[in-house]
Amino acid sequence: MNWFVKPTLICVVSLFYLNVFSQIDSTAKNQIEEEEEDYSQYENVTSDAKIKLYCNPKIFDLSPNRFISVGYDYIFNSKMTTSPYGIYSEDNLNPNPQTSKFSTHGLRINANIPVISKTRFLWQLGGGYVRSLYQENSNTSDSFSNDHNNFIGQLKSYGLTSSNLNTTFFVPTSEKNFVIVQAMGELNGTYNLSNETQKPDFTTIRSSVSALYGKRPHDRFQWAVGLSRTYRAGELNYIPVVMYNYTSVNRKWGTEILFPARAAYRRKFNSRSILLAGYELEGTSYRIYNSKANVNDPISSNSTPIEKSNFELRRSEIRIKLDYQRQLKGFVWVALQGGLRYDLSYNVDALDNQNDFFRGFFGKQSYLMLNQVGLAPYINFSINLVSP
Amino acid sequence: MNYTLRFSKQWLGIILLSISMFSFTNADTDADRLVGIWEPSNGRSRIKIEKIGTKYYGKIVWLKEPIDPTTQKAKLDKNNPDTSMRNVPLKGYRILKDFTYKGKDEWSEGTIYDPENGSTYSCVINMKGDNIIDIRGYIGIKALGRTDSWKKVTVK
Repeated sequence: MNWFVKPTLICVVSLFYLNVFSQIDSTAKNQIEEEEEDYSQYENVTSDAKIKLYCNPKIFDLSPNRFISVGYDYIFNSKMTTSPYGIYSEDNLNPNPQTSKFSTHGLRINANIPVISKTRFLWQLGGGYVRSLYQENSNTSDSFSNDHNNFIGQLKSYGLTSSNLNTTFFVPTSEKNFVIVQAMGELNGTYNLSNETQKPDFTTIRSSVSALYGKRPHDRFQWAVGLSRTYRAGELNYIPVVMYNYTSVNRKWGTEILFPARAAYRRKFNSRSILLAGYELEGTSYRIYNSKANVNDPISSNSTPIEKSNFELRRSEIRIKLDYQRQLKGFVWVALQGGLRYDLSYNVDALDNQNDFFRGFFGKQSYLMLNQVGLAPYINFSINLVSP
Repeated sequence: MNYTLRFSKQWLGIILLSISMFSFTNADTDADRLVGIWEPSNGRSRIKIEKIGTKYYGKIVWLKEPIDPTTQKAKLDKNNPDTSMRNVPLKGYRILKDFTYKGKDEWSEGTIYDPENGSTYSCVINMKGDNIIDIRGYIGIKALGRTDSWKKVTVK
C-alpha cells in the first residue's frame, strides 16, 4: 500500500508548496513587471463591449455633495419692524411701526441618501429639518399693540420650524445631455410637537418642483435651464432657473450657480479645502398657528372689521456669504460660513379658508402685515458626511 | 476483504481530492475573468486588473490626460492624504486593492482609491456580461455610494 500512499502524499504536499511558491512568484513577477512595464502598449485598444456612455452628474472640483449634514445657524441681533394687522398693498407705508430686536438661532439637519446611483440613473431621497428660535433682546417701543404681541409671541414661544422631504432624479439622456427633476414637500410654521394647541397641520404642506435640461460639454463645465415652482421668495412663485457650474483649466477656481437660488465663486486650495464666496436665497412660507383676528382696513374708509385667519409668514432672505469647507477626516467635512443676512420679505398674508394663492411678481392681493427685518451678520457651522 | 476496503477508501480520497481540486480550478477560472484591462465610463483612464496571490488588484496604465497642466509634467498622486506619496506617478498607481471573489459574479472586500480627491472607498465589483463590470464605491454601507460601469478592452 505504501507504494501508493507515499507518492500521493508527496504529490499533495508538492502541489501545496507549488501553489505557495507560485503565489510568491506571481507577486515577484508582478513587481518586476511594474518596474519594467511599457505603458505605451495600452494606448491603442479595442473593445467588444457595447457600453452606452452617460454624462456624469458632477464636474471636477464641485463642492462635495452631502449625504448627512448637521449644523447650527446663528443670526446676530437685528431690528424687526411690524405693522398692526390690516389690509395693505405692498406700496403702503406701515401706519404704526413697532420695533423689537431679535437674534435667531437653530439646528439644521439634512440628509440626502441615494436610492439608485448608477451611471444611467441617479435617484436620491432626502429630508431636512430647520429650526429658527427667536430671542428678543430689546424693544424700542414703549407699548406694543395686541397684533404685534400676538405675532411676536408666537415667534418667541414656538419659533419657526421647517421639515421637508425631497427627491432628486438625475437622468442622463446621452454622453453630454441630462435632465434633473427635483420635488419637495415641506411643512413650515410655528408648530410644536409638545404642545396640544400647536400640533402640526399637514394640510399646510407646501410643494416645490423644478425641472432642468442641461448639457455637460466636458469634465469642467455643465449648464442647464429650466423652470421651478418654488417658495424661496417667501411665497409661491414660478420662475426660470439657470445652472452654470464651471471649473477653470488650472482647476484652482470655478463657479457654482443655480440662479436665482444661489451663486458662488469657488476657490480650491487643495482637494481637501475650498472657499465659496457668493449668495444664497433662502425662504419659504410659514403657517402661524392659531391665528385669527378682526381687521380694520386702515387705508380705506370702510371701518367694518373683517375676520381674518390662517396667517402665513412669507419669509425670504438673501445670505451674502463666505463659506469655508474642509475635510476633517476621511469623508467627514466641516463647513464654517459667515456673512450678512439681508431681508427680502417678512410680510404676513391671511389665507382665510384658501389653501394658498399665487401672487407672483404682479399680483395685487393685499397683505395682513407689512414687516421688515434689518440687515444682520450671521454664522453657520456644520459637520457633514460627504459622498464619493 | 480488508485490503479491498482500504483500497476503496484510498480511491475515494483521491476522487474527493480531485473533485475539490477541479472545483478550485473552476472557481479560479471564474474569478480570473476580472483580470484584464478595463476602461471606466468617462474614458479618462485604463486600469489593469491582475491577480496577486489570491486577491485582485488594479493599477492605472493609461491616462487620457497624462500631463498635469500646472506643472507640465507627468501627473502625480498630489491629493494623497499621505504626504510621502504625493510624488508617486499616477501611471502605475494601484487604485484597486484586495478584492476577493465571492461567487455569483461578485468581487468584494476591496477598496478603490480616487486620485481626484485622495479618498479611498470600500468597493464591490459585479460582472455584467463578459466585458462589462459595475464597480461601486461606497462609504460604510453600500447605499451610500456610486456605481460606474467599466468596459473591458484589449491591447491591439
